[in-house]
Amino acid sequence: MERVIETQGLSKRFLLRHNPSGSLKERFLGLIHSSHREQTEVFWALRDVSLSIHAGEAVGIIGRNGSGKSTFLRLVAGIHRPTEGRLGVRRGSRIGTMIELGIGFHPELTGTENLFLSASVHGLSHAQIQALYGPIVEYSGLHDFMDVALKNYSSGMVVRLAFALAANLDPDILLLDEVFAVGDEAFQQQCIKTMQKFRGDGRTILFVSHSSAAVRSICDRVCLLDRGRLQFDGDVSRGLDEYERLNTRRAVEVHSGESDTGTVEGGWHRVVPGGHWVEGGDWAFQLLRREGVKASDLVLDVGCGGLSTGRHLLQFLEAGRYYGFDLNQALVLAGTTIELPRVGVSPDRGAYLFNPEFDLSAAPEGFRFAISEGFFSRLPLNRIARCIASVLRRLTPDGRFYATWFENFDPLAFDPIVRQGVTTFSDTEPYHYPFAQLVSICNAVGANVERIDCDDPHPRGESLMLITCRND
Amino acid sequence: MIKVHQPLVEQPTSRVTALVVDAMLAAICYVAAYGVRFDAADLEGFLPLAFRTLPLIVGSQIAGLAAFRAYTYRQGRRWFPRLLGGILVGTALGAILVWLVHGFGGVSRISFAVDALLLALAGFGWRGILGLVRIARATRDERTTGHGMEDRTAPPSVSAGIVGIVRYRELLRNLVLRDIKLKYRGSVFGFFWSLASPLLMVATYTVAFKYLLQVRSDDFVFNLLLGILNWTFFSASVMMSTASVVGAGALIKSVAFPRVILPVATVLFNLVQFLLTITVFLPVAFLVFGHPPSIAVLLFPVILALQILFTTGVAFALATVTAFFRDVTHIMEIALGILFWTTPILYQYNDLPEVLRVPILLSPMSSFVVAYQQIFHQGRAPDLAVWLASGSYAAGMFVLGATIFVSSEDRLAELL
Repeated sequence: MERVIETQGLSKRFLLRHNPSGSLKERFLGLIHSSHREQTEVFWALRDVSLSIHAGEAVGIIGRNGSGKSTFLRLVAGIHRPTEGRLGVRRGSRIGTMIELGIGFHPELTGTENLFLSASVHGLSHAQIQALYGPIVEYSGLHDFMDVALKNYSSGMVVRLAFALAANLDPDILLLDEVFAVGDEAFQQQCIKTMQKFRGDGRTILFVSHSSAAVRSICDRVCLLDRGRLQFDGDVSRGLDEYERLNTRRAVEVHSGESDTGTVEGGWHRVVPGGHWVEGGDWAFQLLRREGVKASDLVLDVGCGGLSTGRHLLQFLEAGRYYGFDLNQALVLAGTTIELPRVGVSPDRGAYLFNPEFDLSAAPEGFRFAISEGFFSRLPLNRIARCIASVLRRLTPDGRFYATWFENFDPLAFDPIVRQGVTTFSDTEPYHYPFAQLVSICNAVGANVERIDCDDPHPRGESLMLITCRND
Repeated sequence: MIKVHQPLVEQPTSRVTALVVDAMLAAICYVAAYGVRFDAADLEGFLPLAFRTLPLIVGSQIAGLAAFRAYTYRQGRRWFPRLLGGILVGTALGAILVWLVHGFGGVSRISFAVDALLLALAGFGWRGILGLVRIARATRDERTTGHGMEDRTAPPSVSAGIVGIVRYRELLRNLVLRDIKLKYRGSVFGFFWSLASPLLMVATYTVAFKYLLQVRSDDFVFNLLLGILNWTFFSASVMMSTASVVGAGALIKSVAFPRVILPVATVLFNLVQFLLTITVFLPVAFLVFGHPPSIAVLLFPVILALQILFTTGVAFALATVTAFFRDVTHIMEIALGILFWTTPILYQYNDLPEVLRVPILLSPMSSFVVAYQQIFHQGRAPDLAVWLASGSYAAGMFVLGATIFVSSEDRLAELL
């Protein structure tokens, strides 16, 4: 197979300008006093990356934020120039970049005018654009709006137009940077379908993503970057495993003071659940206390995460009565190695389970209480059903399973939801479910469910329900 | 340190050729210096002496250049100190020799200074043109031989920029069209406003200066309008170019396209405006002021081409520097205000005292404005000195601007 991209010892250095003096005034003041002086920090975004990519490969580039994924993409695109090393791209390859959608669009211009302008930014000739115009308009489904100024488009229409253009540019090498992060489910499905069609046509794809599902469905090779260095290059599932392991290790490094943010308060395991880590845990523990949990009770913490609730329960319960479950081992590891030592609790007082199947067979039966705080908002509905079914099998006949979830009060409205300054969508993570839907899945798995109105509102504004076994 | 793939200021392979060209230019510049200094009537009296001292001056200028190793150094860098030093020292030497041999009686001393400046401009000018020709040739070669891997580590070069403009001409066209459309979108009469404004200017300025102030003639109003239209092209390009790169930050950071397109599009947009207004203004002005066009109008495209080169050079430089220092926009507002008054727009070049003509002509925009006035108003070919100044400014500024732009082009995505 023919090589299309080849790098040898590829490195890129950025000079980060702290206190940047974009103005001459600052330059002069800098001469007088050091607080005005520009400080530059050398930052190697990419270090010594050697790989070659062949025609027809679909390569997923994964890594944590700031690992150099986007820099690599921009180097291949020709937006940045390498500081060191060699980078070759097959001569004559047309490179399509979807690093940001809708770049160069102007609100005052019509759809057609924007299409021509935006397509020519990618180096297409007038004749080429004219030939592509029909397919692009058809793909976008915006035929009736092409003569309308872009300022009158909805934001969804703008994205559709931009993606239709990008998908029809007919590149030999396609560079994608997290375009799936925007738009609704249908749009993301369309993206994935288009990518798979690209693959079928034997084009080369470089795909930067955080989503393992998207990488799995598109790519046949994975390059894992960490702190600018290439850590893994090869098989997709092994690469994703490697990435998971890396995240775990990082969570531990947070403890040893090597984290990016440097503080436990800003630690990754506290941020992942969606903020209010401390308050959420305090709230859940207070709830169980009010509901009458005793030190001798067996308690199951479903989605225990970084042990925000667990750190209270481990202290309160007798040793061996706490069971924590989570899908993500790294989160629990962060909890046992970082959070528990901070409150002086031994992790050995509890037991921890982690697997993606909600397999609780390692835990005993006879839990009187189960608690799930801030967990369901991260699960698709079917996963919630599976979770509830698994938990019910471990409860005593009078066992009680308290769970919080983001409630969607109007099941037919899919408008953005703004809560505490954060905008979310009901159909993407964090999910928002109408109570009626949860009732129906509880019925399906043989559980009773009731909504509980709490005097003490949940810190993230989630609703609370009580799931119990149906004793008939 | 400026890193350029292809040398921008070039020396011909043959030293003799370079020496002969410089000698010829030196002779022309010396005579032209007298032409600038004196009116036609006085000139005849001074010319014999000028010719008699010519060999001394030219000889010592060439000797000065040779002494500064302008003919032995091949690398396309460090031309600036070599040429400038050689010419200044050479001219000074020549002046001393003239004083020793002839004495200063009947010799114009100012002409020495004028001569040195003209020669410096001309010397850089022709080497710059040579550099451009070489780049064009290298570009053609690059396009014909293309296979294998394209090296992404290659530094940006002028040749790559020229290839880029050709390859992305559709983008250039669309950017210019965008600006034009945006300017007139939503207005009922659209681009008729651009056509109407020169007509209104003719009317108001005529009324104001001729009838209200009663101090000025038709000629003054004609020259004034010609100057203002020309100046508007320049100043609008300059102000727009400071924002051309900075304003396109998102685009630059997410798509790789030849960045050079951005300032070029700015100049082209203003050129279109200028051509629109001048095609309305000129026929009207010829009719109203009773100045039939002469054959010299054929020289208009030549001087326009030089002005485009000059303006593009300025746009390159400013577009780049603004990315580093946002102050440039404010500095340019002031600079343009000063430059406006050192350019013969509100006053006539011919009315100036002779002592002032040289410095005024050396103001960057003056030679272009004077050339327009001489072509359209006086109906004759521009003076030699005007050609030299405009040609040198065009070549010099374009080369300088392109050098600055190319040297920072690959850092723009990081700066914005």
